[in-house]
Amino acid sequence: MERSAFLARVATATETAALPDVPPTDVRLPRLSSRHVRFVTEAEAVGCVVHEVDRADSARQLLLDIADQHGVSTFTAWDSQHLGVRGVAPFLSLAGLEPVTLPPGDDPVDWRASNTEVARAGLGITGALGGLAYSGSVLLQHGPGRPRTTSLLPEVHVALLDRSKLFSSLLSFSRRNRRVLEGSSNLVVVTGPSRTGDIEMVLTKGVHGPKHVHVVLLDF
Amino acid sequence: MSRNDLTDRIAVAIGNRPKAETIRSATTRIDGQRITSEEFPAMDDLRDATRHIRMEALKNLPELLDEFATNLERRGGAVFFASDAQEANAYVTRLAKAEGVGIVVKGKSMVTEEIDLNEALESEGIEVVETDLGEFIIQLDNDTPSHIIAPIIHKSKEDVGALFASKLGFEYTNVPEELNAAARAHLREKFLSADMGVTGCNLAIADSGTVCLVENEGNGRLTSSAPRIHVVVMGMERIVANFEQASTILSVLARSATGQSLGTYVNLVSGVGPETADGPEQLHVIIVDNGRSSILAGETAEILGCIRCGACLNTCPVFQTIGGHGYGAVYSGPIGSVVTPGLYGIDPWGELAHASTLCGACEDVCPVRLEIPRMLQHVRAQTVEAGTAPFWMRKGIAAYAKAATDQGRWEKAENRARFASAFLFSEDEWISSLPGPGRGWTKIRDFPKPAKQTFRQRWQERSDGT
Repeated sequence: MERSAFLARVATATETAALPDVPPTDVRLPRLSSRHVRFVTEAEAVGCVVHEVDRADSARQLLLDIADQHGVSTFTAWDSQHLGVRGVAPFLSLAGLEPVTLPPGDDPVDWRASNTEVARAGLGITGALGGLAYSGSVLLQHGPGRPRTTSLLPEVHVALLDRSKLFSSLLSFSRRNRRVLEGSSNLVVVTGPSRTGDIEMVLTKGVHGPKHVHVVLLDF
Repeated sequence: MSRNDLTDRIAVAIGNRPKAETIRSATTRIDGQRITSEEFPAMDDLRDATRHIRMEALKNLPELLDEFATNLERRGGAVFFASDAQEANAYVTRLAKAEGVGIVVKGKSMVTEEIDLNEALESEGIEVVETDLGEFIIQLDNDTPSHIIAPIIHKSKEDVGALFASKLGFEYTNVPEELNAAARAHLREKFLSADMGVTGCNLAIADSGTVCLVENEGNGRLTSSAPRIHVVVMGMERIVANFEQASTILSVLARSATGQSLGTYVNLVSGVGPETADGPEQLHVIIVDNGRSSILAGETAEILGCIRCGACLNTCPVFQTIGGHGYGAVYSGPIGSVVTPGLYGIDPWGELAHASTLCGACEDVCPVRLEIPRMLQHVRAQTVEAGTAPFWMRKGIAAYAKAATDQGRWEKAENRARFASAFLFSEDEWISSLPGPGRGWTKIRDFPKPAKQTFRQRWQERSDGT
């Protein structure tokens, strides 16, 4: 149907629509005494493991420990400038982990091949645009050097989050970043590991996305 | 569809004891998970704000849809306005054929169930794979979803184990974790080889041209990220003005649906373009009317404010008893009993509104504070006006109205009823078969025996001091 005809039909319908006049409500979530404490509590409640580091070299070592803990030997990571920690990929490679990467830059990409490649990685390492205290979430903004699949195909996802980027809620984030959706064709809010309750409402983790999510708070 | 279908479906639903028990325990469990305003006091304000946002969006629907489409096109997406199911299916099918698509992976979407998109694609020889665990199981079993957010609420883990063993050749297990792992492995292959991903849309944001998808499994993210073409099918009412409004609604959606603060993945897709290094090459959004504008034009317009959390299903005593299949339509429960007659006609679907106790639990839990009981009553009135209300109900209510408006007639009727009850009732004080217009009532219910004394007689005695 033509857009104009479609919209004209809808406009006609709205003329007789029985819709109540509801006054606006200014919602203020209760102020948190500590966004940091609440973030840790909520993220752990949804099944994340939260770490805190105050030096870049401890962050790199922690990533290696996480890989060991889950017994993974392959990793994929966002480009260095989006991680908040330098030298992650060289460090892990030197320690014996195999890097799995997408074809770089603007090359025409063979989607099927690159997805299959990333799916080989056991560990996916991303940065984060921010964290949400009320829900224990991390925000991932995707773009060049920040593929969507890094936090999706590997079984273990580690998000590196600058401690100063904690917001109280999605609502407060959206108020402070009104145009954030203009900045990227994909933004995702991740709250815990992939899960389902479809079979008899029994909570099961690790469906199509990661089974384990680690959040590393960077305090430096 | 004949008028007896609803009562037949209900008889089937309550006749299957194990299935009914599974449904009751699951709905009770999800209902208990819902986050209430006692647990999270901001819920009250959030619900008020959500109601405001949804009602304003419906009032400004043409402007918002226009703005959304313009922004999405600016960001590299294609928009198609589909008047009905046939137009929507034709667009997707034509696109899939033109692009040489062999496999389509799908995220969970109610609107594609509504328009029967899978059948349309399959009839052109395209393989369609549902990837939400519940929907995958439904597809494997040639079944239909029985709940808008928990599609296999009616199946036990043993049912699923047996199904995976017979259809996929997996070794039988009834452990949900193992069944999940089996499905993951099977579907991962499909994701990596699909050319097209089809999802629904929880919310569309007008001022940025964004489609918002909420899910827990990651299948929605994969469906919208892995294949080179992403197709979104959205009901036209699913729109808000900006990100802040979307965030307000997202703050109540998962809390009402599953008791989570947010869904595991809130996926905000804003076009395709040079700023993406991965993700699809093409994004197509199909905005579907399919009867919604006729709902919008009338007394039940408010129902289009629904955000599909499923809370009214879980809390409804009728849904808890008969499950989604009892309703015989894609949208079930209290919300479905208003939406379905609006989309498909009062005859026969208006009857669904009679399958309600009007207890009001649905309105109490609704995050949009939709006046569902009022709308159910409106649909009931429509069935009477259309002459499609059951014969016994029209006759019975007419007789009641005649008696109840005249004191002499009322007293006579009471006496007759008490006299007749001596013949009609068994010792247990319930009757299962009344004559005349009462037959329709007792066909599916028992009727209590009238008290020995009427209220008036007792009141009279009290006043007399006897």
